[in-house]
Order: sequence, then structure tokens, then C-alpha cells
Amino acid sequence: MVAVETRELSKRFASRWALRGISLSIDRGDIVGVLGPNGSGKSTLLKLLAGVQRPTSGLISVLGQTPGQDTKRRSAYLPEVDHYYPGMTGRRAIRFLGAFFPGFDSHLALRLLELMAVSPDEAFGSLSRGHRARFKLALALARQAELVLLDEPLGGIDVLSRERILHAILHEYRVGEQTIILATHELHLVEGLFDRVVILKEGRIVLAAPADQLRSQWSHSIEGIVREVCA
Amino acid sequence: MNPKPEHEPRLSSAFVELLLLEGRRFSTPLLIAAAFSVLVVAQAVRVGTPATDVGAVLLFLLLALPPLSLPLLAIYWGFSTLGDEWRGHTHQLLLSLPVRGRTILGAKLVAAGLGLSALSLVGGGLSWWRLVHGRVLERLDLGRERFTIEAATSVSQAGLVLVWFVATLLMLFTAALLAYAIGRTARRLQGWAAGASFIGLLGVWALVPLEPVTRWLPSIGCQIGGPPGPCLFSPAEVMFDALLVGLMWWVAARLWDRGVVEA
Repeated sequence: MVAVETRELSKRFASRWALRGISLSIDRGDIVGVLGPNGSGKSTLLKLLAGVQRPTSGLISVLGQTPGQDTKRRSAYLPEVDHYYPGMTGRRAIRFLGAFFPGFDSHLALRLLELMAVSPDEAFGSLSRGHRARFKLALALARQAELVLLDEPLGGIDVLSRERILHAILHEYRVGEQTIILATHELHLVEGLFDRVVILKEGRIVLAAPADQLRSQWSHSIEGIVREVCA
Repeated sequence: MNPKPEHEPRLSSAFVELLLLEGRRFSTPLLIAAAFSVLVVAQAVRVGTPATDVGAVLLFLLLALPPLSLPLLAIYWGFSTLGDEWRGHTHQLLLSLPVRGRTILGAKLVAAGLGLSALSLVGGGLSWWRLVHGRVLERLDLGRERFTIEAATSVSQAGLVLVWFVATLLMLFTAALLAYAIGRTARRLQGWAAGASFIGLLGVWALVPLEPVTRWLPSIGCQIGGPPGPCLFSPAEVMFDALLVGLMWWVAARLWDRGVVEA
């Protein structure tokens, strides 16, 4: 069953094309890595799938629907930037999200915050960078959404935070039910998770295939393949 | 009627959460503005005694400062209510919520309405009370017919002025909000959009002589209490303000829904 499908998807900002002619299909239950150098269009692709941006042209189907209110309800999006209000504590954020997503599991959110050693009573703005990343991920995973879109969840954070975040992703992942699309540069940490990878360069797909197939064809790690393809 | 699916959020609780969020964001500037108004009026009372009479013009200017600063606050609030979201990246949280732009911008409008009404009551109310009871307007000698306000009608006049004033503040707030939303579409247009919005507002506002068209509407304040006198602020003006607020808010919500604000 297909979770995400795009056809000739393009996005232009003023005179610059962020994505051009992206056609891909992602099966439900897969963990997919969206890879590529800075400016390759990874974040834009995730934003389009999350419904926070609209495409310039092309078609998108997320969980069988065009991105909109219903797909937003069924998917969780974690942007690269810190998108919570600085004064928002974990408890307040849980209450806030609970008002919009009735399936939001507040107990799970509190448990995940505890697991990631983030106090639910501390304001988001007063947390360290690593703790902010943990805070964001805990709340995204507590949604138990059918589709989870993670944009650089490991970017620029310490080793301990990375380990906790990876542990949480693996621990909460519901095999076969949940689709995770993860855009990242930290390939050496996560490439073992991927069922499939999509490599972007200058807004175009240069390679999209199952991870194991790529490794055997190229006789490289995924990181090595990305380095070679995007050089 | 089909019941709503279980997974659909209750709009009321979502709206309340958005409203509380806005209230928390702007509570500090509102408290500062209220304290500023109280201090200014207190100062006017202190220097306005016969022993230290500083002159009616200076007293009038001092008392006019709190209400006259509110339009600036409304414009600032209108720009920053969306601008701060973009600067802090929190717009991505709002855009990822499963609600329409009218819910998000509606909460912002209601929060601004409540905040600006409270400030108008505090700042404007205190100034008005001092202007009327300190007989400052009469001492200005700007024409007794227009500015003499009888004690019996002052409350109703004040009520009407408050409604008109808040509607005008909301118009400025919404114009700033819309200008920001348009500016997000094409950054080069941001300055032009802001300029055009306010010039447009002034232009439409100058059409208040259309009052005969709306004469059938019930008068909001002129007929409440006291003998009918010259109305400072007509229902037509209030209605135009409200219509403009609604129109600009609707356009901004459409821009939000169409995703152009994130373009």
C-alpha cells in the first residue's frame, strides 16, 4: 500500500527552483531516507508532504489524499527549525497539541519527555539545543501518526542527544503501520534504519531505490554512495 | 445530521488554545501600555491643578497621548502578530495544524479585539474622564457646540466613542496583518502592500459621508440618554470599519489557506 506518491512535483521560490519533476512512491511501513547536500530540496519536499507549503506544479498524494487538513491530522511533521514558542513548556505544548489532534497521547508524550530527560515544566526557549531537539521529537512521536516527517532531527546536537533520539525513533516505530521519512546529513548514524533512500541534488532525484539494493549494486555504504553521486 | 468523525478536533477547544496563546504572547506589551496610560493620566492630573496650571493645550496633549498611541500599538501588533511567528519559526507549528487560516487568524483578531478594547477602556477611558470632568475641552475654546459634553450624555458618548475607536484600531490591526501576509507572497511588495493598505484605509474612511446610505441602521450611541445632540462618531463609520476589518481578515485567511504566506 502506498503512503506517499508524487508525480512531476515542482516547487519554485521566486526565480529559483527548489524541486523539479519529482516523481516517487513510498510504501506504507517503510523508513525512507531523503538525502543530499544543502540546498538539494530535502526540506522543501518534506514541507510539501506535510502540507505547510503548496507545490508550484505536479501532484502529491499523502495517505491517499492531497495534503490538507485531513493529512495534517494523520501525519506528524518535525521541521529542522525550532518551531515551538520559547515560553511553551512541555505540559503546555501537550495541552496545545491535544486540542488539535484528539489522537494525541499525552501520557506517551510525558513518558517520551522523561525518556529523553527533558523536564515537562521547563520552557522550550530555556532548553539547550540538544534538549530542544529531544522535546520536538517527543511531541512528534507522541502523535502516533501514520506518517512521520522528520527534517534533520539529529542536526548539530550532542552524541548523547543523538543516541536518545535514535532510541526513541526505533522504540516508537510501529513496524508495518507507520511510515517515517527522514531527511538528514548524519548518515553514518542512521543509514542502517533505512528501507529505502531518495537522493536529491539541485532539486532533482538522482537516485531512488531500496537501501540494500543500492549497497549491493554500488558496494558502498549509503554515505559513500551519496558522496559519489552528489560530488 | 452525521456526527463528526472522532479524529476531528473540536474547533472550540482549538480556537480557545490559539486565543490563549495570543494572550500570553502579547500580555507583557499590553500591561506595559496600560501602565504607561495610567502614568500619563496620573501625571496630567498632577500638573493640571489650578496651582500648577500648565495650560489647556499642554494638558490636552498629555491626556491625548494614551489614546493616540493606541493606533501605533494596533499597527505594531498587526505586523508582529505574523511577523514574530516568521522570525521565531513558530509559523511552521501553526501551518502544520489541521485547521483553516480563518481559525488561526480569527483567534489573532479576537485576541487583538479584546486586548485593544481593554487598553482603550483603561487608557482612553481615563483620558476621556479627565477631559470631560477636568473641563479641559471647554478650556481649549475649540467651539463649545462641538465639544461641550453634558454630564448626562457623557457616558453614552463615551460608549459610542469606545466602539468607534476599537473598530478603528482593529481596522489598523487587520490592515497591518494583511499587509504582512501580502508581503510574504512577494517580499519586494511588502513595503508597497503596507503603504497601499493604509492609504486605502484612509481613502475608504474618507467616504464616511456615505452616511445617508446607512441612515436606516440603529444609532449605536447618539440616542442613548440625554437630548439628541451632534454626533461625533456615526454608526456608518463603525459599520465601514467593521466591514473593512472583515474583508481584510477574510483575504488574509485565504492567503494563509492557499499557502502563499509560506511561499
